[in-house]
Amino acid sequence: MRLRALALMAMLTAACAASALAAPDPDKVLHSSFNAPETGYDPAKTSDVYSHGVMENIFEPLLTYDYVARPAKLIPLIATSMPEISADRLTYTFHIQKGIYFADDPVFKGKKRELTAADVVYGLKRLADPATGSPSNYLVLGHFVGVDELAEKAKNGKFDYDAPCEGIKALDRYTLQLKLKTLYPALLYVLAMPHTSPVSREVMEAYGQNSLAHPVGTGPYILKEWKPGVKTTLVYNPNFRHVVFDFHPTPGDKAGEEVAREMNGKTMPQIGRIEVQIFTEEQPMWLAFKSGQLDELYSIPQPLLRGVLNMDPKNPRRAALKAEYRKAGLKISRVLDPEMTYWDFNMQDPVLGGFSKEKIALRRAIAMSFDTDQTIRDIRRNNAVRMLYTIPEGVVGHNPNFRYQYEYNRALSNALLDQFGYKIGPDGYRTTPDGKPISIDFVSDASAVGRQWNEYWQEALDSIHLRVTFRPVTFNDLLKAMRSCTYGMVGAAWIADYPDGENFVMLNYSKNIGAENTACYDSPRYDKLYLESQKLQDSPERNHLYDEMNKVMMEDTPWLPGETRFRNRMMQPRVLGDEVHPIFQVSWRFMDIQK
Amino acid sequence: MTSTVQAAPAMTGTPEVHRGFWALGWRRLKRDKVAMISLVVVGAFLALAVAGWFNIIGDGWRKEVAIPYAAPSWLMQSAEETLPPAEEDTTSAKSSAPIVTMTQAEDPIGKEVALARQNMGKYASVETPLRETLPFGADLRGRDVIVKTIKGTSTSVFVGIFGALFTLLLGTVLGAISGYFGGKVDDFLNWFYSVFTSVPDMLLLLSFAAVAGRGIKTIIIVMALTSWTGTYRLVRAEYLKLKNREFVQAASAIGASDARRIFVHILPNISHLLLVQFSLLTVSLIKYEAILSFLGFGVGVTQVSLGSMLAEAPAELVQGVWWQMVAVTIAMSLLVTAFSLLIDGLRDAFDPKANK
Repeated sequence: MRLRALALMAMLTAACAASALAAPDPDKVLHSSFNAPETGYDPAKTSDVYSHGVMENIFEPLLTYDYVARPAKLIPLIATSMPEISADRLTYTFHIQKGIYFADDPVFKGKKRELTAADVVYGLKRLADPATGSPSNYLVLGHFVGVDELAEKAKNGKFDYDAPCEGIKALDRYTLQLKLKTLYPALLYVLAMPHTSPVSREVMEAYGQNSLAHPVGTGPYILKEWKPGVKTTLVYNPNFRHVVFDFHPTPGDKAGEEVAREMNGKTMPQIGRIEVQIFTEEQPMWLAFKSGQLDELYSIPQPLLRGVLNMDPKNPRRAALKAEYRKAGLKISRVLDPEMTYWDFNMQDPVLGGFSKEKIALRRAIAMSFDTDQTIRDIRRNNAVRMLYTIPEGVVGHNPNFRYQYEYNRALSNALLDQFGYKIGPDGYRTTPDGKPISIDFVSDASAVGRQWNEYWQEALDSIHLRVTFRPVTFNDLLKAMRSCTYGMVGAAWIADYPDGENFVMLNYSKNIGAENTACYDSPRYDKLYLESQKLQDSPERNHLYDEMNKVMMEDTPWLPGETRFRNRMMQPRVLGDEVHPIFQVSWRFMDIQK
Repeated sequence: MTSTVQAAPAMTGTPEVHRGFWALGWRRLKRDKVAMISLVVVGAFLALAVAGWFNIIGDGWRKEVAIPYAAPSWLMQSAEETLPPAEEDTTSAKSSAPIVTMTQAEDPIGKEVALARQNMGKYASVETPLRETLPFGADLRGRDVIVKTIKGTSTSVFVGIFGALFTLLLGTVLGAISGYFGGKVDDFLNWFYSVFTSVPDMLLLLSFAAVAGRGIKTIIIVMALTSWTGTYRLVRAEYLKLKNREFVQAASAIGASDARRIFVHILPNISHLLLVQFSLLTVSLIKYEAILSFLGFGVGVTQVSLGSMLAEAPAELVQGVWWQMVAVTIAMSLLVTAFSLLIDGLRDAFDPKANK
């Protein structure tokens, strides 16, 4: 996937039809799979990709993405159009479509409940409410006029949803106004995340703490049954408005054209019932798919890649299903995820951290001793490309001509360490220039794959005579160590929340130490460039700042860049209109299935 | 009054050769063919293990000698499916823009890197070509499975034997104290024993391992700390039984100290039980080590054991790479089976009264 000329505007033509809603066939059942358990279905309370995937089908935020346009492109969803933005870019006005109804729920006492601007306001304020405890509160806090004050007051009592709030308010039943304290270039992307979807206040107050199990939204599906961590069943929402698919892919985009051919003219949704099963083990998931029990495979398990795909060993972008599967009619949608993996050096670590030349040299020597191409080949099975910029492909701001890459050269690493006086002691390991022993505290995942990575690192660090101690921990402890800056080295990954470079360059902003800045990187040079870039929309000026930020990082070496992986979704021949979208987790609402 | 000194009764026949308990046991064991074959196998494994400890064999197991997952040489290879040749890559034309990256002038350590580049000659390494196949295949990193298995077996046996030794030591000392002294000491140790046995073995092992970290030494300690209860119970019962026997009372009459009575007088009388116990423990600890390593709590990255090799097997099997698992399975089952059969023989030989 490469940055291409902007796609033609493709929209879902939405028309309010009072009658003759074509209900989907309830016998059309889609069996799908996730490879890790979900947390639940309250848009404010969850942040994992699997809950996210289900909620995309139940809740509808103000904006969404075009399903076939690449790179991903924002379009209005429950808003009538893109917002009116004031000249100073601080006030945004949205008009909500009339005649959108929430799904029926006992709380509504048999009456149809129309969506209003007040529901959008409630949904946004709920993120700031300390009682909600939302992991996504950073999307709202610090940005809107008056909201932080309300949240502050609520710390010793209840959040006052009725108090007037200048930052987030409904001007009338169908008009919403957002007022910002400072520029917030990512705002429109944020308003396309399921977290910011409108929710009904009656429902949230009625179910209280149990809101994870009672999602009531305006989307095409409703939650029918939920067995946490085992199975989730969705059925179509009879209150959903009349929407006809009308996709206009970029000319030449074969996958998009196929979606358009299969789906255009049909109403949304086509599938009456969706059953999602959780498989935490790779093998049973694959066997269930192979035997036809699953219509869709979330992703091909890593160890199976070479068995299922024919890959070009020289070019990871070229891959096709093996003849055995192609003949069975199985389909694949393979795209580069908007993500990147990288190795963090803890910049506050007494051994590795710091900005002095000798510490930079130590980190650089480590970076140059690791053979990323080898691990892409062996561990990733060639299902990844090198990450060469801190913003991955497919995300606005990516620069394909930048090379954030340290040459792989162990001899040079050794010579560089010699140069700075890291002498090899009698035990064969190097000491610091003032003669103290060095031991790198390498925190890793306690899984079999984690051990594989450790083996490659052990070999690399042995080759430059550095002593390393691996500390295998569970994923939660790994996150804890990263957020509290109590480690030496660790492997990290980041996937886009929205396809804008801002979502990636913020990873190294010093104010984000303790959260997403896991390298604990505190550079005034970087911060200055970052704050400047915050004021700009996508433009050559901003791209230039991004290049400068990449150079600053390359110099200071808080990261060793890793790779960007492909996502390989597989489907049975009977599944139509299924394509991996860079931001959506699932495509169920855009799909059809032949009985 | 004349009296004659009664002559000592004359010995009849050839004198009976005095046979000790161990010699009798050995004679019984030699009659058991299965046990003798097992003994040879176990002996071979032990020799292998000792050679492994001293790095006489298996030392180079971390060397990458072949391509990843190189197949066993005797395996018939089917032709790989390949992709059709690449179409003319039209996308690469657009990357005509100049490459941007950090320049040497911008690099804070640019000068030093340039200097180091002149001195890197002494670290130049010779690349050896990687082999396409190996006698029993290679793992993900291209390491020889046979060498790896030998080294892994050596580690596993080491862990098993030393783990069993420590377990036996701990169990015997506590059991002896408990059984010999009785009373409050016995009550306390019994309470201790009950606490340990109330938790399922595997859970206890995992929780200790989670706290203790990684490495062979910690595994041995963890296993000793969790597995001593069986030996404790056995030894305590034996001491309860033996402490009032005449030979112990005699010892106490001539003024032997408690310690002397415990270790010099009673202990040799249960040594045959300890030998059987030791063998049993070795087998079960080899298995426990495999489980621990399989779950990721076992040996560190620079070490290999049968368990850590097995942990790699699931991911390999789905891709049709079976050789590593087969190698481990053969080594492990041979070792455990031979050891178990030997134990059976030992028990028959040295503890004939034992109720099997």
